[in-house]
Amino acid sequence: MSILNEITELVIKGDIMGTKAKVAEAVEQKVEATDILNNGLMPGINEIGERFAKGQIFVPNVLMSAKAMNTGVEVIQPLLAAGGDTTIGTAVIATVKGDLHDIGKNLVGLMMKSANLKVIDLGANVPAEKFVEAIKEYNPDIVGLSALLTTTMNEQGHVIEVLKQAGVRDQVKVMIGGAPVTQAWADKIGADAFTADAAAAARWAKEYVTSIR
Amino acid sequence: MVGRVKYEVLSDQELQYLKSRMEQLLIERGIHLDHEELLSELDKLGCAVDMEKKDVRFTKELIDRAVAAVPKKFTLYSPSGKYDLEFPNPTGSFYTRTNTGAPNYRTINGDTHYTTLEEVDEWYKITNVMENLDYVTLPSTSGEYVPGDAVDVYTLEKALKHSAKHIWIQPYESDNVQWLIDMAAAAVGGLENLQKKPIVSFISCGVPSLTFKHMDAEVLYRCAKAKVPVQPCSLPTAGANTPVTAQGTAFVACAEVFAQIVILELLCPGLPVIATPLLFSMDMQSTYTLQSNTEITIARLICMELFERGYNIRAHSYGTGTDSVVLDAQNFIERTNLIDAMAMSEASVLGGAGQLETAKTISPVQLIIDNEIFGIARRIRRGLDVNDETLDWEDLISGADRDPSFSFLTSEHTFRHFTEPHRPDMFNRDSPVNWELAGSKTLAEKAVEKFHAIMAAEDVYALPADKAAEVEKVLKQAHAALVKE
Repeated sequence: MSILNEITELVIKGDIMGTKAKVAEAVEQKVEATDILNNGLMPGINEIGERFAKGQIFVPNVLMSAKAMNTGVEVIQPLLAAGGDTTIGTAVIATVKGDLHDIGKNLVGLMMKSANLKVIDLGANVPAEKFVEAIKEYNPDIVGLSALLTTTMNEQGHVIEVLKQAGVRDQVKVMIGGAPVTQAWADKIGADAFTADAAAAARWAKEYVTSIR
Repeated sequence: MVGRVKYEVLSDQELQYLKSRMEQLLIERGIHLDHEELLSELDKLGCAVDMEKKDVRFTKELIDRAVAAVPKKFTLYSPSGKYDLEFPNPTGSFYTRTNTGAPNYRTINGDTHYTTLEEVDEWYKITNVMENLDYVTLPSTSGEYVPGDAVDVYTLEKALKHSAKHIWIQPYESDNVQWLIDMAAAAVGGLENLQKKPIVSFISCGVPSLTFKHMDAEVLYRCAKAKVPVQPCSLPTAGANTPVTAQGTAFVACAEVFAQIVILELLCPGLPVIATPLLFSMDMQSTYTLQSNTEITIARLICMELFERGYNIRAHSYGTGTDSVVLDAQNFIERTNLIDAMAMSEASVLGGAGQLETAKTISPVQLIIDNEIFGIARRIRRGLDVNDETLDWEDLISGADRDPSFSFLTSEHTFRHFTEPHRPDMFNRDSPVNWELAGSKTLAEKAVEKFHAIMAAEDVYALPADKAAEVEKVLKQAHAALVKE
């Protein structure tokens, strides 16, 4: 088995320390950093994505493999061109103002990272103005709004209105989610996407950013 | 013999281990509490408080003092006076309640939407006549139909006007807590009357692990000041915000609930409290939060035993519910499996009536069926006495000698006991021929029929007009104070 295949297998296994050591070994053997990324690490995480989509593995498998891959990327990052950014797109996510529930939002963030997106997590109880600032600062492709309560889901609509007023609404796709949230609600407030769970959110985000690249 | 059928899921050694670890957690790690007034009070009471970090640690002495202050007997009263709840339940049974926190309402036609105020009225009209349902919660009326800043206040107004049974209140905003207390007080002629006969109790809740946001801390603080009972909750999700093991999740939930009880009893010794750990788990493939995981069911029994047997504190958890979206076989397997286990736990209260879809939807049809399920579960908890009378020893040993024509069908013993077997109101207990003659109705169809009968009948309870006017007055004041137009 080539060293690149070994890296792929270690990512699939979610072996963090093993991946780190094997990537370092590959660098020592003068394997190109882009080769390690594209033919060692990426095939591993892509295989994990496919297995998860088929229901063959579970969320912790995905998260550990993503950790393993990120550890490998850290080793080669200084050697990669253009600052070494290997992500496919950027998402700003947060739980909206008035709502402190963050399990769903955190899961979405983890699954998006596993899908190789850069995730800017603004936290919970985040006012609309912070989303505007984040769009200007990070230039994301996607903004994700989470709300667990019927009393706070209205804030998702308010955030969209504030994005419009600030003239940044068209720069991003707005995704919404949370226990009381439905497609009908997304349609009503003018969100671009509603997804029912974290994995679906990551899938939608990956497909969208891939489609515009 | 009453309330005799119970599982024991913890050995004495395990029970002591859990108590010891739980207290160690509160003493060594403590909790995070986002409420300056409450932090100051706890500081004065002797807790180790870091005002800057908002962290609180307790001492063993304070914990013991708080536990000793928990009342062993208390009563939660009902607005009508007909459904007062004495704790411990004198019959050895458990009390039951409706689901809380669901955003969706499923009508009898199957339409699911955000809950309206009219549906809140409908809900209480049903709960008032459900004989196996002891108290109610506030349906989560949508902010689309009432001001979003005052959803809880508007819904409580409906509850106070229409519910004959004790009301368990979930506040949604810090600023609303005192208004909710004031409104409940208005319904009984003032705070003093509410303290004497609390017709409401409150929900406070931790954010796992061991963090209490301002609103929930406000509930603890205001209720302790007002001497209004609290049923402190914890709603952890195994694998998401607590350990993936059901035991670990049960432990965190109990520690969060226990911390709240300690705070309440330090602030207001003797305040009625009911420990309410409500456990969930995350499905590791769909990431969906589930209620009906099998290990979590066992963990609920652990929680009940820890509080009831370990501390002699009344405990409360889910007794019914499902992760299924509809009234299908999965739904009824999950909810009957849960109630059968929980009926034989140490629990004093079992909740969740009427819910579908992991507590996100409430359904009048399901509520009416849950009433039947609760009836069966209560019968199971009661157990069976074994003695000469229940064996019918006299007839067995000498019945035929006394009377050669002896028959069990016509015996005195049968006449004395024939009404005892539990007969669910809506279950088919007839032959296929008669079932077809009666319209071949399913349980769900009978529940719909019962729904229509309830709706057609006069409501059995309404708050007296003078008290209702006082409640409306508080609603207007609360609206002016809370609603940002």
